[in-house]
Amino acid sequence: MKVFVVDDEQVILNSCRLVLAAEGFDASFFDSADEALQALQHEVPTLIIVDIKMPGHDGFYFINEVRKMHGSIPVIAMSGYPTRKTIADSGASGATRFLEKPFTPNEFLDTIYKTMGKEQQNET
Amino acid sequence: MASLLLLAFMVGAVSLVAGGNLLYKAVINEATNRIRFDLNAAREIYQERIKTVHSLLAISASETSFRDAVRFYSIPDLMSRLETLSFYADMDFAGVVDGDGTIICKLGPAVDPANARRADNPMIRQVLERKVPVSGSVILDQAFLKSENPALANRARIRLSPHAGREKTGSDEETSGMAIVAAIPVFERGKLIGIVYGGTLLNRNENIVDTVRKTVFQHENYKGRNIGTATIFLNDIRIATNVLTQEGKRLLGTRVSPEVKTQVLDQGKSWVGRASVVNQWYRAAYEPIEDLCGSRIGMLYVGVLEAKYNDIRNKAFFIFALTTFVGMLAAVVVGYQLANRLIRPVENLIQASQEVSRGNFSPDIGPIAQDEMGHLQTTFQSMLQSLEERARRSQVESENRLLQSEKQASVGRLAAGVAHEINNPLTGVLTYTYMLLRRKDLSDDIRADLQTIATSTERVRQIVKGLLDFSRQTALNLEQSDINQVVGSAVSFVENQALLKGISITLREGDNLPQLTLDRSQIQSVLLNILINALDATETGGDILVSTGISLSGGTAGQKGVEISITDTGSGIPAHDLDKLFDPFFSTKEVGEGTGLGLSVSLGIVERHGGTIRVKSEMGNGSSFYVWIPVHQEDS
Repeated sequence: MKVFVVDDEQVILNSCRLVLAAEGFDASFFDSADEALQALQHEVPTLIIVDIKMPGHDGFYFINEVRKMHGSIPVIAMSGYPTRKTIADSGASGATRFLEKPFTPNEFLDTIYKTMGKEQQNET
Repeated sequence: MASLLLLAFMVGAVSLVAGGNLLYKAVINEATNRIRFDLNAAREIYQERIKTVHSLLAISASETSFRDAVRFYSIPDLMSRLETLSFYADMDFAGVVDGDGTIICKLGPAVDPANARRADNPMIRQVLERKVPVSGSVILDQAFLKSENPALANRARIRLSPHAGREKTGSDEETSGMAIVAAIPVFERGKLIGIVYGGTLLNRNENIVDTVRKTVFQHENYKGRNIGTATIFLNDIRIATNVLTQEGKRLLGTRVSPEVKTQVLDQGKSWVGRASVVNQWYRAAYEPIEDLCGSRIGMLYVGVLEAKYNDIRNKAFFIFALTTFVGMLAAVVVGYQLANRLIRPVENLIQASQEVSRGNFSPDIGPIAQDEMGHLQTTFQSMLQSLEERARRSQVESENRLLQSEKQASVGRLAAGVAHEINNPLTGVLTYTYMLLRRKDLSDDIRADLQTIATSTERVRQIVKGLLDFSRQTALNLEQSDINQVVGSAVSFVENQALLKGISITLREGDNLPQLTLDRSQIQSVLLNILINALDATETGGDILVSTGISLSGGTAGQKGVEISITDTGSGIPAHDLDKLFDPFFSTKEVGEGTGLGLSVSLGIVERHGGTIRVKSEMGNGSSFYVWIPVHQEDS
């Protein structure tokens, strides 16, 4: 299982790396939307976790692009400013689930499993 | 102003016309009434003359010496008596006849024995027939007059005026005479032995008509002319008058108008009205004169020069018009004054209130008057002052409110930025702390320290979340709710805490409260927030009273709502803190104890329900919080 994590904040990438590694996930980390989109040309992950507010292309743009390239990959959108509008826009642009920052390792993993579980349900 | 003038002129004109008319009628009425009285007076004078002749003759006839003189035909004695009588009674003719009617003697030229043996005149005939005294008016023919005295016959002749002779008669001359006469029988032992008679010829007689004028009109003059006139008519011909012709002669021989003649002579009624005599208008009155047998033989007339009445009328009308004009002028002047004193200030006030409605609170209301208007003006001014004061206050209030919402908005923006920035490192702290805590090789003190880091970080997370909640203003999840239930569950939530602290919480639920549309969990968190604050502020042994009831809001014109009051016996809030109580991040608690977001978030929630939170507090006497929520809130 391959997970892509996209965030401009190094501390988030490091936190995610720590938890995902401990949980045994294979993960790649990108600090911009463009970088992640490039990687997506060559590799299709099982799950993408992406921050909404990023310099350059933001999370909404990224999710849109992902949906164009690979329609059904589950995407978790994250934000440190989870307004109603942000959450709604995330859903509209194609995010599967929304994760509010900050989060604890347990909340992070819960969200991942719930998303995957939902995906698996959808697939069966 | 123009309309006022017009009105004044119209009223003036109408009253002038109406008043002038009334005046004219009054004058005419007065003239008519007066001429009636005058005619009565004239008749009395005329009758008095007849009575005088009658009385004098009768007194003479009743004397024994007179009777003897008649009996013995003592002509000189009789003649001297007749002369005396005629002098006193102003008689033109007089005589004595015997019991057969044969003349004994008479005034004037001697009796022509050939044809005047019997006196042939109406009054003697009457006395011979009826044997009683008679007196009155008679017509005497030319023959009788001639027999009495040729001079009399001549005096009786009156030439008829050619242009006044409307009625064509054969003759152009009136030869008969009209006279007032009396004839008194003289009896000796019941036998008629003679008759004494006498009379005054009215033709050309000036005495009677002038006496009438003198007595009735008392020489009243109008522009040098006598205003009153009197006339005696033989039939319809003027035979004695003081109406003058234009040349100043007495107007004799002219006839009365056919209209008067018909009414007076033919029908026997009196006639009162306007009559034109010699180009002069008179208020005139006529009445018939009857002879001894009751036949109408002439008329008595009095007239007053109408010019005098016209003059009176004109003078009165002039005075009336002058009064009206002066009154009108006064009305205009008073109206102008009134306009100055009343209308102008009122107009000023109207303009001022229009300016006020445009927002100018110190408009020019003109000079302040000394009267009730001045009172109104000063009242208006003081009203303006309080209006201005209120406007200023409400401006301050709305500025405060604006400041508050700006504060909230900036806090919101700040929170958003801060939250975003803080949440990322917070995620790091949380992640690393919890990942460290997963390790089995940690010593207990390190684990405890890590646990403290985790707890503190969780606390930071809550603060940031509160900030976000505050800025995010999450939408209300409205549902019909029983407010007592919401309050009850909030109270029971803190009851354990209160019990532990030794504080009694009393809940007094209001009866028959309406259902409210509200977000239960948000209102509950508001109540919890206040309750927890109250618990914190209250020492052991204190009381907290929670009650609900119907209350009208002060703000929205007495809108019906429900008020939840939470009163504690705690430390109270200093006055200088009351203003800041609802500011975000304001807290009276020690640093680290409270987030400072509670009350501002609470107020936000209640305000989004259309309600308010009020606070009353006194240092040392506890605080009261009043949460008011309207029954029907506007769609938000």
